[in-house]
Amino acid sequence: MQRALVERAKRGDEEAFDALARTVGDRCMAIANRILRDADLSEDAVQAALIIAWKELRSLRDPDRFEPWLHRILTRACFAEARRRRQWSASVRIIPVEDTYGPDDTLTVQRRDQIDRAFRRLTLEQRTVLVFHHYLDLPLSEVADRLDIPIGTAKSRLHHATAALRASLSADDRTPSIAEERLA
Amino acid sequence: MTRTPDTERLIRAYLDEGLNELPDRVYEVVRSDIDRTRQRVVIGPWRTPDMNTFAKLAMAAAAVVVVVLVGYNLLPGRGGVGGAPASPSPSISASPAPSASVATRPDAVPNGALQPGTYTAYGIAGTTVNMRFTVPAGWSWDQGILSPVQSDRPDAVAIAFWSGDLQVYGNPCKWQGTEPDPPTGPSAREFVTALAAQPTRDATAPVERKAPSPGGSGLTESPGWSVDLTVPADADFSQCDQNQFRSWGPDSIERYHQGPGQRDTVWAIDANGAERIVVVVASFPDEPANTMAESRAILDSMEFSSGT
Repeated sequence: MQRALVERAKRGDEEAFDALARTVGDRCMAIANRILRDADLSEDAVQAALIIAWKELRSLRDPDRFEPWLHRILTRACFAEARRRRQWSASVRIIPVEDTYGPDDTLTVQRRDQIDRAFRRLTLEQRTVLVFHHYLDLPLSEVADRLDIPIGTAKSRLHHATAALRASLSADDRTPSIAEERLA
Repeated sequence: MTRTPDTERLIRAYLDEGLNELPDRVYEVVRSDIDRTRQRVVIGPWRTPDMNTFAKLAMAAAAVVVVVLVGYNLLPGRGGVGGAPASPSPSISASPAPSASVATRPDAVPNGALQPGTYTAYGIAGTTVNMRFTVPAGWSWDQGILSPVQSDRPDAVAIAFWSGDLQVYGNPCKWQGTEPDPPTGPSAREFVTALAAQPTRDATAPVERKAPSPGGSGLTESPGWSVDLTVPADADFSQCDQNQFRSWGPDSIERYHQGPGQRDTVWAIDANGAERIVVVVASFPDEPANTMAESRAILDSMEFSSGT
């Protein structure tokens, strides 16, 4: 079904593209939100990515690869949105993710806040690899393909991101009072 | 420092949290935007374009760049070109529905795989010029791009069309700020001469190549000039402005190349004595000889006449 929509959209069928966008929009939002950790930025990134996808759809040769192709565009849109926001504001105040999605039972509130702070200190590139690998459950070869980077780079980013998170969590564990001050 | 299963589990648990639903308002904005925005025509290799351009376009929300598709060549005065000539007019419908009177012309070229034969692209490249051409078996017309029907060869030869106020960059890699001053002249000869002078292109000497007209069309043979250009095989696009190697601009009607080694045969025509049409045959060195020969034959078959 998605292939048929892609093919119709490639021929300029706006209805088909609208339907296509609605089949992939939520997943794009989930990815963008996990990379950017900001609802407004995520919406803007997905919106930009979908519009770009429409404009550039004819460059997609294999309709079955629409979603990977869109994810690559989305990732770049996320980076662009983050850069744009930084340009507007010298000190970006990222709004915390709503807590309506209650913490996993393995993740206490304190632990969640620790990892959230650590995650936000990662580069966007590192966050993206984590999201594609751990959230989408993609193998690193596919992560590399979707991000248009060598697999060695994907491995490196994953390693350094994981190490940085682990180091941050360890540091927070050693200095709980500092962590609490940051929360204040 | 090694990754532990515990860290990985924490990361996964953390990433399970977050928003999972795109609000309807975003779909509505997208729908509204695409209703005003035409799709970009891509020729030659269909590689993902550079995100800098994406981002720039995406952010230019107020400046709706309307890409004129070759597919609209069926609309009088609304033809398109490969690489995308632009009109800033948002009033132009984005729906590629040809007008009934033109669409029903039996020789109008349809989208998709073509039967061998002679067709006419009405209002080619957004001009008032009609182009008649003959194709052998195995070719397709995809929104104004002629290319072999070989989906497994994304880098196949392609023939595309431009019109408009094209400006030849002084430097095809570091092209920003190298728009010519004074601007590239409006004639076919001036355009081709400027291309031939572009550095690093290993250009052939421009040659005169007049464009024939069908008998009885009321149009005499049109002046035309041709040149062959190459993208250096060792060109590193990542070092170019916006990661693009460009022959000409401005944005939205630019000719950006799809890879090192790409060769363009550029044929500029002063059709109707006023409207400049640029025909490009884009190929890579590994293009099979038979399809290159076919592309040349198609080029040789082209005839231009006035009116839509």
